[in-house]
Amino acid sequence: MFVLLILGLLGIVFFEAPRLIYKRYWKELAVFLLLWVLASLIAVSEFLEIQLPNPLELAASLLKLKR
Amino acid sequence: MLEKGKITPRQTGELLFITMLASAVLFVPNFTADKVAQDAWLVLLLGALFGLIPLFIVYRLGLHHPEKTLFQYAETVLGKWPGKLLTLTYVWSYLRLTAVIIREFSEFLITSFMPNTPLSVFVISLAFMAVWAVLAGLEVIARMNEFIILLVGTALVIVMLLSLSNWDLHLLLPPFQANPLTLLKTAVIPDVWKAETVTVGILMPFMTRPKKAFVSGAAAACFAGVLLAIGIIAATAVFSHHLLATLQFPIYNFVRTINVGKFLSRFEVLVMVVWVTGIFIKTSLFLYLSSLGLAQAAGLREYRPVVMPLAVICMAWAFGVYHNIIELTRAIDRPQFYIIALSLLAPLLLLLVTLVREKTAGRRQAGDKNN
Repeated sequence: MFVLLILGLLGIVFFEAPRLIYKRYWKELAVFLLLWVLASLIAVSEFLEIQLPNPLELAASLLKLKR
Repeated sequence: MLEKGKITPRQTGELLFITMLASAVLFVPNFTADKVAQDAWLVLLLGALFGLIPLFIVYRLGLHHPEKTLFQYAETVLGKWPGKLLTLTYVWSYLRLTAVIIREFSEFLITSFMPNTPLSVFVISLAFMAVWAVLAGLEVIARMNEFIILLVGTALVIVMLLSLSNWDLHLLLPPFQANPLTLLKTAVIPDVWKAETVTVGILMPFMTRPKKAFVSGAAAACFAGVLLAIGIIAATAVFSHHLLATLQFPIYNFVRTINVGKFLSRFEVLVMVVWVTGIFIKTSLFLYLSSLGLAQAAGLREYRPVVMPLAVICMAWAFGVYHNIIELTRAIDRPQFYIIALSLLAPLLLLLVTLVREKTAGRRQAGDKNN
């Protein structure tokens, strides 16, 4: 199943990226890849049941440090 | 322009109608009956009326900023970065809504029809269909919806008519017993309150006649509210509100009671048709809106590249957002502040800033002429 997930995620890049490179839409490509990395991180961590650190908790701990 | 398709006012109304109806039809009767007993239908009408407030605000905004979506004029009104921040908040909320809807859809199908199928089957297939629809564009979603709304409308009317023999209207007595404050609090729960009318602010520039946006949106909110109210009246008249509050999917159980002459029975398939098609349109529309918002905030030339990564995020989120159906039903039966903030306070702020700016700009222009 994990292989399928990785294949699906890579499939998205192969589906979208060549068209963007062909059209020379560099900005779109950058945004796409950034989002894709984020999405893959979330999806893989969800699949492997790893708890990603919540950014709000980081902010809360920073506030506590100040106090 | 990111979107080349155009939709008619009628199609806009139909899109809004289906987004309001589809998610509410299964979950709303349960918790409204729990909170306000036999007055649940009143709450639905109240929620539809409340839906007109954000609709009016975004309609005025749309008239002040023609040819621009909410995401675009947020930047011109609030300034570049605050506007982008607001847009990203909208994108986040639409993504979250999409994830919650996908989860609701899967949980309903698992609990009622296919208890042995894993969650991922429904989540992945729905997200795949939604991505396909979003890649095709807004016009395709709107036209598909024109066909689907016929199915939904006839299915609901048939169900109501056939159940008439089971109704016991005494169960609705005595009416108007609920505490007014509880009524108001229940009416601002996202599924009851037709706050989806904010979507008009994003769809307006794509309409052939944007001036009709208010009429079509209002018609959608009223129709959806009245239809849901009738549905709840029917369910209360069959089950009484005590039983209604304990059932997981009251409308589904209500339809299962229909049995005309031991021949016309098992109508729950019709509910499934309403739910699946409606949820499909709603998911596609919301995924489309979040992709459009992200593309406009990032200044892209097309929204296509962001669709699939956003869908993947939605899928992962749908798995993690709730642990089980009990948590889901407990989470959607209370008012949520971020919905109120995004569908009422933010557009109100935008409108106020627009009006003040236009006033001061007008005065400055008049002053320039005098000099």
